[in-house]
Amino acid sequence: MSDSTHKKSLEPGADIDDFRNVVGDYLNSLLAEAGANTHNTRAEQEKFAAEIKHDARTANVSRCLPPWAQQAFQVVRFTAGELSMAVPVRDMFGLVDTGGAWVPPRAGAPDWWVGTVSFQSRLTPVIDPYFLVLPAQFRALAVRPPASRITKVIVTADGRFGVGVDTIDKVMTLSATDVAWRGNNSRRRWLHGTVRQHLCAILDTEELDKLVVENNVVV
Amino acid sequence: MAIIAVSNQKGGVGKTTTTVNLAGFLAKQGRRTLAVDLDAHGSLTAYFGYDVETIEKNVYRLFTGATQTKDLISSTQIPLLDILASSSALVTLDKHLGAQPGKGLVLRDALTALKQRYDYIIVDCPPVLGILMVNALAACDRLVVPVQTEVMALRGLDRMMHTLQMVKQSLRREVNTLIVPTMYDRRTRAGVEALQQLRSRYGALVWDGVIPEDTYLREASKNHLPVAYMAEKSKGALAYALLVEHIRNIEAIQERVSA
Repeated sequence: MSDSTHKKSLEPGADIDDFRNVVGDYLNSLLAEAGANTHNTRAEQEKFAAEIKHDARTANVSRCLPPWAQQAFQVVRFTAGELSMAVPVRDMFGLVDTGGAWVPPRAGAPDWWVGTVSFQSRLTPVIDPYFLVLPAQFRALAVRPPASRITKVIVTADGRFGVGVDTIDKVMTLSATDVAWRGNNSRRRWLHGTVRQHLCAILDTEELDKLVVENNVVV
Repeated sequence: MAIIAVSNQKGGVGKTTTTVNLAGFLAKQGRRTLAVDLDAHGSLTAYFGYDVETIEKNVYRLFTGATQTKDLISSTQIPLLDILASSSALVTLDKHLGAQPGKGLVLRDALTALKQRYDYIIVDCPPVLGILMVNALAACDRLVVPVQTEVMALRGLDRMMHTLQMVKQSLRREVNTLIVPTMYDRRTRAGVEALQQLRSRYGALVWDGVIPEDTYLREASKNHLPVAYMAEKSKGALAYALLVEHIRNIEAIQERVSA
């Protein structure tokens, strides 16, 4: 990695952050697309991120903008019950066809835990995002129980759980300003926000993961 | 066409064996496959009977320009399996090219030109972070990280995953990653414990199977053949067959999602 054209080099006594900066600059330079709108140095990247954040604020976007949304990102849109929802592609770990084969959850489990499917030879608990959103008093009135509605499972959180979906719609590429990000005090902290144009809620799988742990949804 | 990089910053973990046998199985299944040797030591190149000191058609020329990628490819004794060989001159690349803008994308652009010729390209990476490893990570659709099932190798894996994280930030995209436990000996406590640690630390990023210690893998290497062509029923061959099947299953899922 030694080169005289390199923008930074390590000085004696440099710490780990200096090392990361040098490696980061090295990688950014090597991976710069010819003629593309790239942001090679850390300073340029930070400026770029600040511009995005500024744009987001001016569009009434709250402070809960995840770091990865500072660049264009993709989500998979799907339907759950009567809702249109989405999961960031970066959070997807796999896809399972349920084939109607469910292992039911244990007695006393939350009603949004639909059951368990087999994924890569392991049992993966599946949650129903529709029931998570639906107020409790309406869940009992749902025409179709989740297990008969859900046809596929998007496995996420490195395989720790899956999100039940009725049908997969399409992959959408979005930018930060396409989404109304949730506020810090939102009751539904497991939603990143809503895609403005499509009224489609983006699930926050990290927060869902915490919810799953808190509710002891394990097999 | 799918490009799979086989990489780990620790040496001796089974990168070349994994490259040879992934490529060998894919070719045996009728897939047009190219193996690319980015390691100046040239183990992969030697595996298929070429000498890194003398072979004229080699990957170094991609970086010096003026030659079309297809003209640098050599055939192997395995039907449907070709090789883009290494050169000992690769050791000079970092010194000559350093961090020149865009030089991390040379391989990606070169391999894209082979889209119609191959179904799979498997890239064997050098065990150091430098221009060649960055090129491989930038070019690949999928990263396979072989990890020897012993405790010291796990530390090397932490370093590799950190490097990968930094490269992903610079690329601004995800790299699908699969950690493959290799050289597993279930008779040793150290091996069993290392595998447990690997699974508990990296969870579902780790392939469910293992590549076992198998003398047939060494024998196949001595005979310059992928194990599937020498001892198809051996433990090593069966394990690599399962790994190929797993990778193709994941690809099928991703194709369905993006369709």
